[in-house]
Amino acid sequence: MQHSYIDKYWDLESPVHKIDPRFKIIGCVGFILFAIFTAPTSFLTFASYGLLLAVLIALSKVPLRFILMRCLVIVPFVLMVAMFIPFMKKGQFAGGYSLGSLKLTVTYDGLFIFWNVLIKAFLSIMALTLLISTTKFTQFLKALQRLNIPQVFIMILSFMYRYIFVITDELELMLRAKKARSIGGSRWFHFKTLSNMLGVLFLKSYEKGETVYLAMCSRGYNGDIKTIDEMYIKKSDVAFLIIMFSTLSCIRFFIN
Amino acid sequence: MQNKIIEIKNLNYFYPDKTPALSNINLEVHEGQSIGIIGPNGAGKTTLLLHLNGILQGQGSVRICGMQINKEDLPKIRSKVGLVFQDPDSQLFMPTVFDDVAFGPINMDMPKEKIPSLIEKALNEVDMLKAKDKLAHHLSFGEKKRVSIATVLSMKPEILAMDEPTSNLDPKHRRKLINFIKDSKLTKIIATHDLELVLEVCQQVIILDKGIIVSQGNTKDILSDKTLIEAHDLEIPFSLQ
Repeated sequence: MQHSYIDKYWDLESPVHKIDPRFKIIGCVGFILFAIFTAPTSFLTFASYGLLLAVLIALSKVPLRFILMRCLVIVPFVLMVAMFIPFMKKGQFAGGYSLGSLKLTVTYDGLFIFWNVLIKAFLSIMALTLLISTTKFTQFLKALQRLNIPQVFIMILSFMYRYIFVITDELELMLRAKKARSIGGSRWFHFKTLSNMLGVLFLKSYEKGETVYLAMCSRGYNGDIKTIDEMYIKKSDVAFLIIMFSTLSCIRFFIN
Repeated sequence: MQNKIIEIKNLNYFYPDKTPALSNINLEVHEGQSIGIIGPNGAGKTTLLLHLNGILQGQGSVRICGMQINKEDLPKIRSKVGLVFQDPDSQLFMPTVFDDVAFGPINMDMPKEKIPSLIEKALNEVDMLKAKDKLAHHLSFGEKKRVSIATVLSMKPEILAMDEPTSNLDPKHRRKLINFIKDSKLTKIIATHDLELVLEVCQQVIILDKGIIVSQGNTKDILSDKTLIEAHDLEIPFSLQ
């Protein structure tokens, strides 16, 4: 079955792909911190950060469309949270709605914070998307491990990456089997069937979890996961971090 | 006579709801032997396999390579018994094939510099070296089955315990797997419904039904005994009819 993989473009040849994943993660986190600690009024600084990302995306050869589509998946969640900000903040009155006895007012300060949240979230999401789409997911996990992220988080991510496709396949097969036997029936009936299927899916994944654990035990698992490291720092990795942070600092301190 | 590599005496096992799953199992397997375990669905074949490396521990005695299964010897026993599960998606739980085949040896604390060559050797044996860096999900079912075997071969086991090794395989890959099993010098315990496979690779066969060993002996003799075979929901293999 076909799946859309999160790291679909990991095997492209580009300078961005070649950077050690650990350095990419540090660079990305650095970028996000710089973006977060920028004053909401520094429009030019935001534009420069955007330009820096654009250069990196162009270097990585990952299609811009792919990155934008990935970002669009997450942006609605940010919007959902940020939507209420313009109504909550007190300040200079910008406009309002009147719904019977309920009066909603929008302030300039509120709108400003709203824009601030949106642009920062968008830049961060874009940076993360670039990081994920230029790194093989398994390498990404190894890098996290080397950066001393707690083992249990890495295991959860690793199992998720391994089994999410198995479980979606399972669901797809069940949906297909249902379709093959669906003749008529009320909408409510189909709705109820769907909830039964979710229950079955849950049981199946629970049972799968049990057998996977048995399979792990029978190969000597005793609570901690050990893997082999095959990561070596190159000069170009260090150079990348230096360039990245000096560019970020230049943008921060000179463009304002 | 060769050494006894597996020795099971008076083994009883009950499911958590107290239903008996295995009753009074006695079994001796010698080094290098191939034993087939056959029987209807729900006879306890998988449960018996799970006792071989202490995943399940019932009442009675199970000795592997002379070691009684207990807490201290468990890591050693698990490295001696390579258990291959029926569903390769359970067996392959790491993201890449390399990591999966490395999982056992790393847990056994083998020296790190030796591990890559062990992995290559194990993958080579099942003809899957080309898939070393692939993700498990990108493999076909037959490939996953073969990699599953490599994941235990890398632990250098003495016993290979396989649960339904040929199920869902296409004829070509089934043949390849049978040839692999035939060529392997390890002691093999195979739980299966594929009676042709048993006939081809096992010298001895056990019929398990409702958790009881009902018959045990030479493969050809047992598989051609029509009354016995049919009494336990089995069928005489086509090549013996």
